[in-house]
Amino acid sequence: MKLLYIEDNADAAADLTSLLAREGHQVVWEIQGADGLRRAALEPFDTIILDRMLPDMDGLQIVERLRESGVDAPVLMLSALGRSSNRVEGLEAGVDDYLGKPYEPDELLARLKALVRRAEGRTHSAIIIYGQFECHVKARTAFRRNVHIPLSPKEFELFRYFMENAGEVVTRDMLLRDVWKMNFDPQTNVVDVNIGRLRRKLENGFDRPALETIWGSGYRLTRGE
Amino acid sequence: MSEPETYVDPEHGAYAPGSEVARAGSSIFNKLVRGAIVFALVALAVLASVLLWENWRSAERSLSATVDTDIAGLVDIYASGGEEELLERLEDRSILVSLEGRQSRYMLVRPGGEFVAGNIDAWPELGASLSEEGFLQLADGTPVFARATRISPDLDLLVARTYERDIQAYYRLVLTFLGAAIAIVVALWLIGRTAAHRLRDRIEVIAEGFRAAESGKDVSPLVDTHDDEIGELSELSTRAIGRAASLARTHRHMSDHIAHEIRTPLTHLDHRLVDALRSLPPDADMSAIDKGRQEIRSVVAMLDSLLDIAASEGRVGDLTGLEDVDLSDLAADLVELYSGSAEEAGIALESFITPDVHIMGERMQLVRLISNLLDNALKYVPEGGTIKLSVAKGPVIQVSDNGPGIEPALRPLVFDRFRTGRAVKGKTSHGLGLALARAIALRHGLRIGLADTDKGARFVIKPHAMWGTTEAAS
Repeated sequence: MKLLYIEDNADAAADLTSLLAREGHQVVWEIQGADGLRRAALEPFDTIILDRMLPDMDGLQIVERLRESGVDAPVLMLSALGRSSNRVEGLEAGVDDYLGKPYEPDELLARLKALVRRAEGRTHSAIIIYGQFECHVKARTAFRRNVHIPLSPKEFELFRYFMENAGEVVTRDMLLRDVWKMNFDPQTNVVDVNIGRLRRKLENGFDRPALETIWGSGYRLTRGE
Repeated sequence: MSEPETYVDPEHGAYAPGSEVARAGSSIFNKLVRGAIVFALVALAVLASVLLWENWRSAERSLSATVDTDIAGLVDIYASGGEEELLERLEDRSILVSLEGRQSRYMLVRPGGEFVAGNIDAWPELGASLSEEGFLQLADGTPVFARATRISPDLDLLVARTYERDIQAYYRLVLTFLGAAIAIVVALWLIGRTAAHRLRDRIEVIAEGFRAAESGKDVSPLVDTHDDEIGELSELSTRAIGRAASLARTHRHMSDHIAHEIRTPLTHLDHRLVDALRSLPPDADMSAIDKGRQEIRSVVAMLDSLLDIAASEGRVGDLTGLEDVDLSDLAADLVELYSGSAEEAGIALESFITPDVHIMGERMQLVRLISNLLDNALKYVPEGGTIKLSVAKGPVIQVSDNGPGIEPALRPLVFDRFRTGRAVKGKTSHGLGLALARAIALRHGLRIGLADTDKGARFVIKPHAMWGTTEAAS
C-alpha cells in the first residue's frame, strides 16, 4: 500500500513511518499542508494519513481542498484532537476515518486496511462468503456450513461487519463507531459482551472457533475451518 | 413516590435550546404607530363630542331667545292694539324668514281649542298655561322649536321656528370632524410607518448581529454611526458580540492546544513503551509496561472528559449543531447495547420508554449522557440488583437502581468534578462521568438531579421549567 502522510511532528512521523514500513507499506511524508496537497495531486495514493493541527493549514481545510481537486483517496485523520466532538467535526468535514492520538498501532493498521477495502468497494456484495460463513445481506440471514444461525438485528449487523472485514482485525472502536454509531468508549465492557454473545451463536455446535480475540486490539473472524 | 431532591446548578439560568427569539409579527414600532393612531382618534372623538354638544346647545339657546323675543313683541302688540292688531301682525310675520333661514310659524287659539289665526293646523303637546317650550314636530311633519303661552284668559299663542339650517350646519361640523379624523389617521400612519421602518431597520441590524453570533456565523461590525441611543446600543452590541466571539475562539484554541500539547508527548511515550514491548522476548513479563500504557490512556481519557465538560458548559444556549433527536430510539438502542453486560453481571436492566420522545440536541452527547448514567449504575449495583431506564415526554429521563445508593454527605456534591463514590474493586474512576452528564444536560436546556429513594439512587433529567421551585431551592 502506498500512503501519503502529512504531519509536522518529526518524531510522530518517524514512529508511524517505521510502523508502516514494517508492515510492508510505502510512506511518503510531507511536513506542510500545502506540500501535501501538491503531492496528492501529482501522485496516486491508496490512503492519505493527515494530522489536523499543521503549521500552515488546518487538516479539515486540507480534506476540503483534496476533495475539491478530485483526489478521492480515503483520508484517515490522525490527530491529538481526539475527543468525541473532534471526531464528529472531522467526519462531517469529509474525513473517512478519524483516530485520536495516542493510538494503538494495531488499531491504526486495522483501520487503514478497512479504509482501503471500503474504497475498493468490496463491501457491497449481496452475499458475502468467507470460509464456512455466509452472510446474505438482503435477506439478513447468516449461515455456517449451510446451517442457518438465528441472529438478532444488531447481532446480524455485527456479523455482517465481520464478514465485510473478513480475515482482518476489527477493533472495539471500529465496532462502536460503525455498528453502534458511537464515537466514544463506554466504561462498561459492552462491546466484549456483545461479541461474546455473537461468538457463542456462531460457534454453537461447531468445533472450530469463529472469532478470535487479538490481544489488546480487537477481534478477527476466522474461516471457521 | 417521594419528591425529587434539590440538586440544580445555580450558575446557569433556564434556557431552552431551539427557542426562537425573533418575533417579527410583534414589532414594537407597529405597536407604537397603532397606539398613536388610537390615541389621536380618542382625543379627536372627545373634542368633537364637546364641540358638537356645545354647538347644539348654542343653536337651542338662539332658537329659544328668538321665539321668546317674538312672543314678547306680540304680547306688547296685543296689549296696545288688541286682538285685531295682533291678527294683522301675525299675518305679516308669518311670511318672514330670518337671516339664519328660520321660518316663523304661529297659531292663535281660544282656550277651548277654537282656531283663531296662524299657519299651524293643529295645537301640539305644549301647555300654554305653563308657558312650555321645546323641540317638536308639527302635524304637517315640520320639525320646529316652539313655545306656547297664554296672552289673555281667552287667547293662547304658539310661536315656532323651523331649524333645518341649524341641523345642516350641525352635520357640516360633524363631517368636518370626520374628515379631520381621517386626515390625522392617514398622516399619523404614513409618518409613523416611515419613522418605524427606519428605527426597525436600525434595530434589525443589531438583532441580525446577535442572530449571526448565536448561530455561530462570523459577525461583521455593526455600522450605525448615528449619534443617538440606538447608535450607542449598536456600538455596545458590536463590542459585546466581538468579545463573546473572541472568548469562544480563545476557549477553543486553548482546549485544542492543551489537548495537542499533552497528547503529543504521551503518544511518543506510548510508542517508546511499544518499542520496549517489542524488544522483550515473548515470554517476558510485560505487565508493568502494559500498566504504564493503560495509565497513559487513563490520563488522556481524563483530559478529554475535562475538555468535554468545559466545551459543553461553554455552549449552554448555543443553538449550532443541534438537530432533532429521537430520544426513545436512542434509549432503546442503549438498552440493547447494555443488556448483555447487565445480564453477565447478574443485574436486571429494565426499560420504560415512551415512544416518540424528541429533543433538539447533539445525538452523540445525549448517548453519552445516558451511557454515563448506565455505566455508573453498572459499576455500583451488585449482582441480583436492578437498573431501570425510563424516557417520558418532557423529556424526562430517569436512571434508577436498587444498589447501595449515594451517601447523604456526598449527594449535593455528586455532580462536581473529581468527586468519586464508593471505591469499587477493579474499577477506577476519575469522578468526571456525572460532571460531564450534568454539563451535557445543561447544554440541552435540561437539568440533572438526584431524587430521593428508599434504596439505591435515582437520577432524574428534565427541563428546567419542570423542576419545582422547592426542588430548585438549593
